[in-house]
Amino acid sequence: MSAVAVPAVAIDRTPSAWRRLRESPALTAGVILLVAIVGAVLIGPLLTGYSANQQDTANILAGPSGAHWLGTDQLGRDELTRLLDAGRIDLKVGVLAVLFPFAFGTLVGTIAGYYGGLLDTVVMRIVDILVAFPFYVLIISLVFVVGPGTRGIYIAFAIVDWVVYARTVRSTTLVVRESDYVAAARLGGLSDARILLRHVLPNTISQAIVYIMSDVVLVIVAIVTLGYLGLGVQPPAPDWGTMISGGQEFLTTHWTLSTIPGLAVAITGLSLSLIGDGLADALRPK
Amino acid sequence: MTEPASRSTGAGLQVQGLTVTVPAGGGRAEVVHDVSFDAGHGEAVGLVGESGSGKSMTLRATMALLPRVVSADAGTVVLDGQPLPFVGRRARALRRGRIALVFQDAASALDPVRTVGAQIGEVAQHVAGLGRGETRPRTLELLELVGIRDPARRMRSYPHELSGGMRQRAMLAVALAAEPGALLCDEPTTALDVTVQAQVLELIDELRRRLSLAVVFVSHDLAVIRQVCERVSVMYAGRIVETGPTAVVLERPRHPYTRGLLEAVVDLDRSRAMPEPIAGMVPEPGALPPGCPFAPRCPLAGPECSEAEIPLEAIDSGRQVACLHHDLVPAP
Amino acid sequence: MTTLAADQITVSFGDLVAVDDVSLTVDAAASVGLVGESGSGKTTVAKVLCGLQRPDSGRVLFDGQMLPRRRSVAQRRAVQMVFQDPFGSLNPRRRIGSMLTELLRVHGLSSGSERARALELLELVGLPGAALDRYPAAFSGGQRQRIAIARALAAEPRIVIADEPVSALDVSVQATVLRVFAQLRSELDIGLLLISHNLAVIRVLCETVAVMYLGRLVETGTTAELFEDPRHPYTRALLAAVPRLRPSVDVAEVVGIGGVPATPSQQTASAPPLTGGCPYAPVCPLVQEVCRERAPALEPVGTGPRRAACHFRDEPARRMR
Repeated sequence: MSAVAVPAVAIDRTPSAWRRLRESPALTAGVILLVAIVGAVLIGPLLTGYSANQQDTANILAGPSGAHWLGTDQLGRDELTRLLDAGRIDLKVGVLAVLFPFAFGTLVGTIAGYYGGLLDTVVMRIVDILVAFPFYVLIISLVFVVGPGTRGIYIAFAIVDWVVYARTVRSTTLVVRESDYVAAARLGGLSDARILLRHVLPNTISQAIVYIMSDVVLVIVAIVTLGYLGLGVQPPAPDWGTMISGGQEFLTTHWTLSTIPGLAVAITGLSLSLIGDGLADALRPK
Repeated sequence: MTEPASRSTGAGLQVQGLTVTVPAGGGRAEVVHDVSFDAGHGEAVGLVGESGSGKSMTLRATMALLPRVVSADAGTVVLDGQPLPFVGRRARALRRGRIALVFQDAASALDPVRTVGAQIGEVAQHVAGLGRGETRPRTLELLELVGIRDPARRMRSYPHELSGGMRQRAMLAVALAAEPGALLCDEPTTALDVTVQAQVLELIDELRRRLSLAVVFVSHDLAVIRQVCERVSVMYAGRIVETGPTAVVLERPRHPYTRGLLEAVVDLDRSRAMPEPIAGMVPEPGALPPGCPFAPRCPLAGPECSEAEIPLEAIDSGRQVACLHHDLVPAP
Repeated sequence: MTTLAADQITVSFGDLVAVDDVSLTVDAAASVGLVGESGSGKTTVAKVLCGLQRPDSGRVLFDGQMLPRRRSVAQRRAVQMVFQDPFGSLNPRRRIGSMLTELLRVHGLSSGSERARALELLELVGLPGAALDRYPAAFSGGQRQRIAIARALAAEPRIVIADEPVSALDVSVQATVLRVFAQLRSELDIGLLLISHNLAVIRVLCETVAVMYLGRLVETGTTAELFEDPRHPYTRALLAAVPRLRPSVDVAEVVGIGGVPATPSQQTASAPPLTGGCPYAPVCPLVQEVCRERAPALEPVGTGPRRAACHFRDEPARRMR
């Protein structure tokens, strides 16, 4: 079979994903910050030489010193160790808590958006109902019912948090569904599952991925809030929320006990937001 | 640089030596290089080229509508004897009510949340300076002028309620409300159906005659230019490569690119002949080959073509071509 | 036996009848042109033929057999489509090679030969093998259309439907893509249904033409006959309206009579609803009372395959060359 005689073709290179990643200052800054935080919370507690619940009753409410870089709390426990340990727990819970909502919400949104019809209507009404309630009211009520602690947090977020993912992914799916390349895939005889997985999802998931970052921040703040209310991570495990509430009564004398954990939440949130911003840019197809 | 041929009344729109640059790879690259053309009142002049030829940028520079990073580095625009600057407040002020631009996509040129009548009236009042009482009759007059039937009712329509052809007519009405002396058209009929296009082209022609407009018409469609413009300039890689009376240029082109275009075009009358593509690709601005930008793709090119820039040279009365081998170009 | 046929297809979207009783056939190695402006229903007909749109009534036949609502993989692959917008028709997140091999795998090729076959396909449309590892963003409009053609060919279809394949491309690039289509017919025996509003493109590639107006077929016949002696006023209006490099017809005179041919949005918005008459009557220069009373059927003009839906189909054009 002879080829068509056509003019010479010049194909230009598009920058690879890695290069685009490096080009985004927000993403780079966010990643560096997050890596530093994760490194600190994983390795830090091993290096301080104390454990989070080790009490030194002779040394309570001490200020920063060579032995205790951030001082001690009202039970003589090392602030720094507690801070880092709490960070590890809060981050872990934060990340784990969004996994199910992300996966479930994306799945539901994709199927509802692609197939439409009754399924879509039912799903969207459920979403509407859940969204109608104020977020914290739902979370707190659910945790209250299930019982405080990390198990309650996971369940509460699993029930409530998937709706944003479902909505976002569904609306992008509605658009992608009408595109010519999806039509071509159908004509090509590809199965629905394959089309959804290889053609629809890669083009709809980026918004959801970006949202994960803000969601983790949201979850961490919620955990901290729950911890402050006594419904979150239960003692003896340290938690930024309980640290803040614990330090409350000493606010006028030893303000660092509450403020430093608060700062930690803020900085972690910042790093995640930066990553979210950068990802939004990097994931956009050229 | 060549002299623009002055026409009939001597007034009209004259663009001389226009050069426009964009940022590229640390420096700047030219997207329009030393372009000159002119249109007298009641005359229609065409700029024809493919994407990347710089024809749209030329129009925008003439209208001082360039995006911020794009700048007109050289050249003059003179309207009825008055030079128009490219930047600054006077740039817009001096063009208001004197030159109007009609776009390809009327839907984005018209404000979707205001009625057509309101948009026309606004221009009539604030640009042409009509009083309150005169606005409505003038709006009706303009709608009739552009061939919109039932103008009293259509005045109250929103752009999305109109069909493509009607929107284009409405956009013309808005442009004409400013009572301009010159009308620039950037592919105004490209997105329209063929029968609607025929009518809009006929309308532009009629307006040109009735209102004595100086019309500059940009298109990639040679046949459309043939229908609307008495004279045409062919653009390639930001330069004018050939210019002259439309019928003559299209029947007996003297630049290999013009000939290539004519061979590549699918035309109803060249029955059954398979069009010939032009070998190669349009060069990127900033990556132009030395000498003639068309040389790498040109069947007549020789080493002398890559030595120095080839200027436009007059060959017959009213015709100019930028080619060392223009006498060797065979008829299409 | 005809390869692909639409039999009395009707499609409505709410109140709007997009396609009204249209029957059309495309045979292997034949090339049929479908002409119409916006609102004519031509794209909807294409989608029904491909199976991407379900008709409200009528059926689609392949090799004489009626196609079911849910087509089998083999049935889907037999009719492929090349879409209008080169910038939306390729998945921006898939490399060309990956996209092609995925489609080839459905065909049952072993993984070794998929890549080789993909290279063959690219060569057919004149693109280098290096294209396999690139994303669509690296290519120009004309190149993307050629990739889209290669994709359509990957399924080894019997019929390819091209919906305005060159409208979005530059003039000199159009020529390249049109040549690829011509090659498909002559070398691969694939039937082509070319949809376009550009009559010149249709004339170059198609042997037979069907003209649609507001969802109905108004004229069909061989390209030569239709273009030289159109028998429906709308076909004449279309031909007169095309700007030409060498004008021989006074466009304004022919098109100016009768005004703007209606598009559906105008029709429903302004004019009174049609009451059974010819849809072209409101703007037709030849209109008589009979046209408003009785809608003309698509009937033969003299002997031969030509048909036109006009009460005056037997009168030759007065003005066309």
